[in-house]
Amino acid sequence: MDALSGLLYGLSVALRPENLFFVFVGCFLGTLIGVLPGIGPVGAISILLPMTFQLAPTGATIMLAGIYYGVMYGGSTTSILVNVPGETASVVTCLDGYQMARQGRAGPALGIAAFGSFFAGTAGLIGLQLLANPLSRIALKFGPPEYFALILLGFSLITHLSHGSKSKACIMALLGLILSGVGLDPITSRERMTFGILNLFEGIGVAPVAMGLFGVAEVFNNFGTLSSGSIEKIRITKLLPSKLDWLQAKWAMVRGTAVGFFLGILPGGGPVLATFVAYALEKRVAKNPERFGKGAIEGVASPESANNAAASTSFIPFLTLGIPPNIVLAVLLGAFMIHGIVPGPLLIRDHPEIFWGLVGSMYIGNVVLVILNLPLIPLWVQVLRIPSKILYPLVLLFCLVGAFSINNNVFDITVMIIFGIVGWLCRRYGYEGAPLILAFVLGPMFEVNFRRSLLMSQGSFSIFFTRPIAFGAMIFSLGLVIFPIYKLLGERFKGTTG
Amino acid sequence: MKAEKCRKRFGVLLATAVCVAVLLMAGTVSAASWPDKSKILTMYVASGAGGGSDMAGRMIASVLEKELGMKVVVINKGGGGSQIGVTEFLSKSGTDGYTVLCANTPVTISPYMDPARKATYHLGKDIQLAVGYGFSPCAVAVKKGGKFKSLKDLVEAAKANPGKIKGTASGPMVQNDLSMVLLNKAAGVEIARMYFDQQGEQRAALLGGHVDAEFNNDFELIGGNKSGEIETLAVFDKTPAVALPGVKTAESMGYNVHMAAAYGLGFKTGTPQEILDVVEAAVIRASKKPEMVESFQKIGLGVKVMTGKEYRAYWTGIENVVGDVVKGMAVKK
Repeated sequence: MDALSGLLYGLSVALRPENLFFVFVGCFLGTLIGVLPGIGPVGAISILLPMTFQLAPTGATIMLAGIYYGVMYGGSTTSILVNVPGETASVVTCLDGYQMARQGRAGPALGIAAFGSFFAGTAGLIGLQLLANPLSRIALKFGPPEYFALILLGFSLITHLSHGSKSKACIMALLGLILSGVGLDPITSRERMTFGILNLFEGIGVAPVAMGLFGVAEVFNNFGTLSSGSIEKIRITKLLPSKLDWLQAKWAMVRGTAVGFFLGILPGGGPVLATFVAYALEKRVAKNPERFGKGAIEGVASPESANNAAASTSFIPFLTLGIPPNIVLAVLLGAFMIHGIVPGPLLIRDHPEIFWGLVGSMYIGNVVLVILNLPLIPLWVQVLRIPSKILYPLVLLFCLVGAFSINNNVFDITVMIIFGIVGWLCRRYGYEGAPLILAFVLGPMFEVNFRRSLLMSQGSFSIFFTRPIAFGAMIFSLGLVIFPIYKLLGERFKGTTG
Repeated sequence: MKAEKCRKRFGVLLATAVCVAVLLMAGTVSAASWPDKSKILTMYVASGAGGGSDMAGRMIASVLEKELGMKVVVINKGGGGSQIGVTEFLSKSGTDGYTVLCANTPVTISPYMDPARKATYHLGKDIQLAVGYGFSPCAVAVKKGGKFKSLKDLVEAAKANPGKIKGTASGPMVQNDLSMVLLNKAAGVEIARMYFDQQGEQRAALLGGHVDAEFNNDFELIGGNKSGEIETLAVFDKTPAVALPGVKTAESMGYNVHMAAAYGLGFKTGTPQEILDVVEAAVIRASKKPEMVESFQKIGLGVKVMTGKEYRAYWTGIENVVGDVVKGMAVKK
């Protein structure tokens, strides 16, 4: 079966009434879980898994996959409206999305996020449909040294995540790196910076930190203005993106999609990393990067496209090799196995109805999500009309419930509140949260791949420079760091002679 | 006025006394009448949702629900390699038998055998085992069509290039890591242990040629084995694994290595033995019915019932292995 007839077959499978129903249920639940902070796709799919035992395998897999990519759609909503990232993959969306909402442009931000998601998700699917096998072979070329080099590249982009002082961004990144080291050592399982606190053994969770630094800090910030009585009224101007918005966001979507497309394929990469890289890239290529962090629509379009493209393409290694590239798909792998289906090279031959049915359902699912999300925008925007003294306590309540729902652990609430206070103080003194989160997410991967690489080479650093992909990425990130310094020195030199 | 207050106080006191008495009586009666079907059995799974331990726990929960005729609620409490979940179980559980722990090896063992982890509990002193129900042996696989055709090839290569042959495990001190340690010891080699904690990372590293062998549980290898991407060389059990047809045991090749993940149930020490017996009998009864075997097969987990006593003996054996590894690590450090 070639790709086109396969797709037509898949659409015919997915359009069967019962399967269409499951696409809808999956997308709806995904949106809902995305909107609610705290509980993410992993928890949701695991809880729903036993309920799918009675379903036909096609319907079950379609629904669970729908939850996964539906979450990527819904996650942006609370990021934009109240600065609370619904998912870790939506942290970056807070930076410009929330600023847009404060300027009364929540509608356009939500609209661009939904459309960018649709565009990127569909583009990712086309890649999945046509290039699945060659792309999965490329993904396998990435071993520990390649990941290390790639993550180094991610670090070199860190200062682009703040719009203030670069040295302050670096300080926050270092803090994030230190915090990411808390917990049991990943190789020797010795304690590090746990101070004997049992809850720190597994490290600090990303979700409570992100919710604290962004959402809770914002609430604290607003408590200050509430008590002083100077509440600024947000005037909601438009509900849909204007022509200028589209023009500005167009290429950001394409670039975000490209980044997400590639990083989604890599096991261990995934949507979260893709959003950070896409945002940094967008800022780097922008003509006037100072607009970022102050409500630039590209800052919403690119990460939201990136996480959806990554969600689509992460199915490539999953379906073609049976390798789940992230935890969500690992849970989904379990779901497949329960239904007696083994993802891998034989899937397309042995279970064409599953493979093509899933691909077909994802095309339909992306349309369903747009239909589901666009009419909700006017409703969501109404949230901003709620008086601050009611809205912010509600937001805080949502965060508290959300943090608790991750592990049913009160400790996560404590972490969130502490980071809320930290975030609030940082903001007062001009330090931003985003570089901290990026370093915090990348830190463990950075460390573990570095140590794995050295284990592979028996301690020799040459491993980072003798493998072509790793070498290329190392040189590129070195260039990214050295070039601005060189330029700066050049300008200074000119300044003194001229 | 004063008299009325006194009377009120007396009333409260009396009511409290009655309540306490009822509670005490309920406590003594409970062992004989366990399970009270109107109550809920709370089951602690000391890992997050998803994953092998959780799946096994949810499966046995539905078995108990049917056999005991009562509602079973699963609580996931992950973190610290089961340490957080077990600690919380012990702090929340009474000895009335209405809170049960998914006590699996070796994951429940490692925290308390390693002095650096400062776990406050120990088997026997704090946890009693009721029954073992599931069993998943470890195995070793390589990329199909690669350098290694047999376990002997792999071991010989490791002998010729000390430290250069690399094997994967999902984390330090988990069963697949322990199987690698035992193989190293049995064959007198040093296969470098590399950890890939996310599911799928191990396979990607193996297929990409970044490592030489994947050490994993039998059910993790079914897919790759079926599709012909990987080849399982040996299973570390006394008998071949049902999940991996055609794969011989390492023992039959001269390497005396046995390691598996075993799944069972435990109660807080002090729980009446009668309650443990009821649970043991319920699981034994269910294991003879095809439904339980079939539902377990779906997740690739073999049903293997061990009585409380047998499970205890098996557990002690694994404790010794973990203890040796911990000591070895301490020496190296």
